[in-house]
Amino acid sequence: MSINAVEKAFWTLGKDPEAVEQFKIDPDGFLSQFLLTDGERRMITENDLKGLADGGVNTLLTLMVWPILNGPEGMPFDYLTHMNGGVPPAIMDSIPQQ
Amino acid sequence: MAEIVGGFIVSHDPMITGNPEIANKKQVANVDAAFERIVERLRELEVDTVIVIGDDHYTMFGPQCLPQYLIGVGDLEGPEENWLRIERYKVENNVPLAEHIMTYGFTHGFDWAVAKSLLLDHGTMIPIYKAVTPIPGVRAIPIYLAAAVTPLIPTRRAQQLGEMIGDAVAAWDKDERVAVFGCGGISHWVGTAEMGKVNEEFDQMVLSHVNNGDVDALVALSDEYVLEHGGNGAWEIRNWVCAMSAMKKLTGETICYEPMPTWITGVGFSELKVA
Repeated sequence: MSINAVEKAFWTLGKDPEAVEQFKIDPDGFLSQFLLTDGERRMITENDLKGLADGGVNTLLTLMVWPILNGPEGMPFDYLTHMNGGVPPAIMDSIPQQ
Repeated sequence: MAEIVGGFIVSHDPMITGNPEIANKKQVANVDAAFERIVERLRELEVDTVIVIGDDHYTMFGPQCLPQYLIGVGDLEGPEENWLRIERYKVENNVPLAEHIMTYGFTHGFDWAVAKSLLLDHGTMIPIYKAVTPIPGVRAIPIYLAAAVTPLIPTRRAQQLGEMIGDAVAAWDKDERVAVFGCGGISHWVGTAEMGKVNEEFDQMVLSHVNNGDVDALVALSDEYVLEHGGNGAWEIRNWVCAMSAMKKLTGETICYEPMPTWITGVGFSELKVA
């Protein structure tokens, strides 16, 4: 996995609101500017942040882009569930749902 | 002559300002009281300048350039993040002293990355906003270590950097009363599946090393051990190592410790006293 390219794409999304708009309009077009493999592009567009994190992508960035890709409403519960393979972790019991 | 008259271990949890209402109210009050205590002590110590040692969170620096250690010697403002509920403002730097520390480093084996203009993230801005800005006239010198984004600065190098900072302050021929902040920590897992977990046993072990002034014990904790027991966020202990090392001989005293899963962190504050 070319971690560097994924991290550059995620960092760009986190820093540049115009990039987010470009991504929403044309995900493949936006991602074509980065040196990503087809598999990495697919993992991003299919929201497989757990797979990317398991591959070594910095989790500061997966945490940063989850609300960009999925909307902020599900943070942090949907993100945590996703990162735990679809199973809500027990730790969430101590976090008050809003 | 300039001297380091004290120091503090300071949490920079962004939830402190960004989302306080999701946490236990008593714990939040204790954290606020810890900041008030630090402000009180800075006043008592008649501190002029605070060297604030923190780390970026892939907020300021991108994959195209990741400094091992950086000093801000010019214009400062913050915070970078718009969700901290802090309106961005100009932070006063002590430019002459910052430039002196920069130059002293260059001539003593430390090739700083240097920022002439810096937009600070929560890694230094939470401590500055809560503990420096409330005291008119006190200035801040920000130092950023690679403590969250790999490649990490080796903890031993953070120790050496801190020792050099202490030497640089001592070599400054102006009257200046300086404090150092080591920011971040303690146990937290940022963005990983374990996010929200807090390891109180690990946190108390780290705080006991601080209270003993035992920098070497903190340096001896491998990154692998810290990751397993304290999470990727606990790598920020190297910020503490750097601050403690600037003070040479010291003892510590815990001001506050609160395990706060809703803030995804073991939140700790200590005063570092010159021994």
